[in-house]
Amino acid sequence: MEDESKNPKPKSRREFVKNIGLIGLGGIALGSSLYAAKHFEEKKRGQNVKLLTADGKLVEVDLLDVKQLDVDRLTNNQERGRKGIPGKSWVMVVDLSKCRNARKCIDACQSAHHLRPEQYHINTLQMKDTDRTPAYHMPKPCQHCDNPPCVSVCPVDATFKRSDGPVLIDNERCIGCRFCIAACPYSARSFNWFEPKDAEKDKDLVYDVELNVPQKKGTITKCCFSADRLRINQLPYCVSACPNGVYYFGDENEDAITNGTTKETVRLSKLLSDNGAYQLMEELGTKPRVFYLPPKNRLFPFSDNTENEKKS
Amino acid sequence: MQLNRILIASITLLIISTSSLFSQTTSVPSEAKNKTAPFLFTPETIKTGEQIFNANCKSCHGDPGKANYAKLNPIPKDPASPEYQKNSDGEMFYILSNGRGLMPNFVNTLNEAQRWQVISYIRSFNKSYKQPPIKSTGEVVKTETAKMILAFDKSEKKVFATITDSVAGLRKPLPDITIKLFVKRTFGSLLVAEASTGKEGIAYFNTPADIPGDSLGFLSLIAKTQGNSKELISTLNEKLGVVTKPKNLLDQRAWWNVNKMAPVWLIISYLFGVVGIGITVVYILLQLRKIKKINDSAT
Repeated sequence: MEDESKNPKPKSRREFVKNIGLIGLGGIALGSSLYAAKHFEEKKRGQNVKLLTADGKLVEVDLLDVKQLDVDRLTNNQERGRKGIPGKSWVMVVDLSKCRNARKCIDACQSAHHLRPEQYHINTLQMKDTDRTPAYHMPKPCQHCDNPPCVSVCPVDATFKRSDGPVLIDNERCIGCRFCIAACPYSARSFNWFEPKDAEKDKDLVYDVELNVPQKKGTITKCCFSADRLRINQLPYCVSACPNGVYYFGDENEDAITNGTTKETVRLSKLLSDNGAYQLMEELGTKPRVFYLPPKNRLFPFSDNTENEKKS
Repeated sequence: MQLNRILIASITLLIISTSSLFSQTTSVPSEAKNKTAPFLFTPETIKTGEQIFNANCKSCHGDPGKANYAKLNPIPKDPASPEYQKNSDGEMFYILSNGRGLMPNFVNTLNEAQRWQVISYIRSFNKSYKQPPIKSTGEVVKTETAKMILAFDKSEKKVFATITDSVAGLRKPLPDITIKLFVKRTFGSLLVAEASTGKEGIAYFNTPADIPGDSLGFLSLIAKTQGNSKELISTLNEKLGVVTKPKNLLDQRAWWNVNKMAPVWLIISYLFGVVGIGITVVYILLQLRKIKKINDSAT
């Protein structure tokens, strides 16, 4: 015992062997993990994954086949969704004098975006400005601000402004923090608190940023200015569904705007100046893209037909 | 008191009657009343008419004969009702084209043939209906050989259209035809000018100078003859518009969540703040060390 404690040689040899062993083990672990990581991608083929089909059958599918297809299309959709249509600058004009709360815009929107009945991208509100002025209906979609507070507060760059105007949201990035809901002065955003309406049906759909379908629980959903329709040169869902000619939609750069019902195209600047158009909460500096024409010369009395519509 | 009551009652009655009768007050011009369809109503026209009706009219008028129209004021009548069917074809066509009261116009949504197909569908619910003989409506452009050419006059700096018809191998100008000039826009055609052909068969258009064109100022023009069974269409691409350089909305550094979009002043003030705090912390630590040193050397 004394010899050993005085003579450090045997101890250091033991230590040396121990160290070698440790280094060797560490090296093997590191090497094998690197090797595994390097060959992970190549080794995927042949690896099967068990999946439950819609009709309840358990099937095995090659992992490579399952993933690659979806991821590619998803990234394509995500990249395309972030790119604006070149040279366009979309604006909407809502003529309040024509809205009689037919709620066709809401129906078209909810069915296009697979929304639950209590979720609105666009809603018709009952407005009464003063005690003396009569009430009127006001459709209110997202205002697609040029200076959007919701985009500024997003911590993960999920919601973004596009070069052609729309403010969209990428639910694959959204973490559901709901900062944007708090920031939006127009209450244009809603949260998917529950499983979406068509969760089962949309299971196999590849997420499209421009349509925001399939909806995802725990993420934000909002009006997209029907960016998917604009890409194929068609008017938004709500605009073309209106039976009363309330909505105009067009390109600011062309100074032309088309009515969704009558398909009449007019000069945007003339329409706005002739009718005394205004914007919602302009004073906040949000620079909205939706204009309102005042509810003058209305052809119908105000009636609260919301309940009737719901019953029918 | 009695008088007051009568007065109130009569006013209320007046309001009710005017509000529900609003749409009926629009009068149809007599020449429009006598207009007839340019073709005979057949099961084919009825079938296409039904499709057009379901897409454009059903949301308010419901299914003809079922009286399931939308509950509006004034009520959009059931197209199968006798009250509706007593209108002449021409009256129906006029109302369908120009709209009435709450009903929007369909002059831009449906072309003439489509509007007549809708009427043929509505008439199919009227057993006693007999289509009136097709009148020659005195349209100017009737022949298949008529032609319209749209061109730009460089000396006059005006767009002009020439309408000619070939008669026995010769091209003969067609006068007094009204032509509408449109500019193509994303979702439709914007009407910019209207002119009629003169004796030479030429119509000059006064186009406004402030229409935004593309990045080189080109406009895509479409000329259409109006109110004829044979619609003449001619197009032209000409440098008549204002040169438009679309502004990129993402040029402004307006939002704060990503570095590349954050305003420069924000980035600078943030960096100043962070660096400033860092320097202050280091300074305090150095001072504390100094105190400790002095303290150590003192003891």
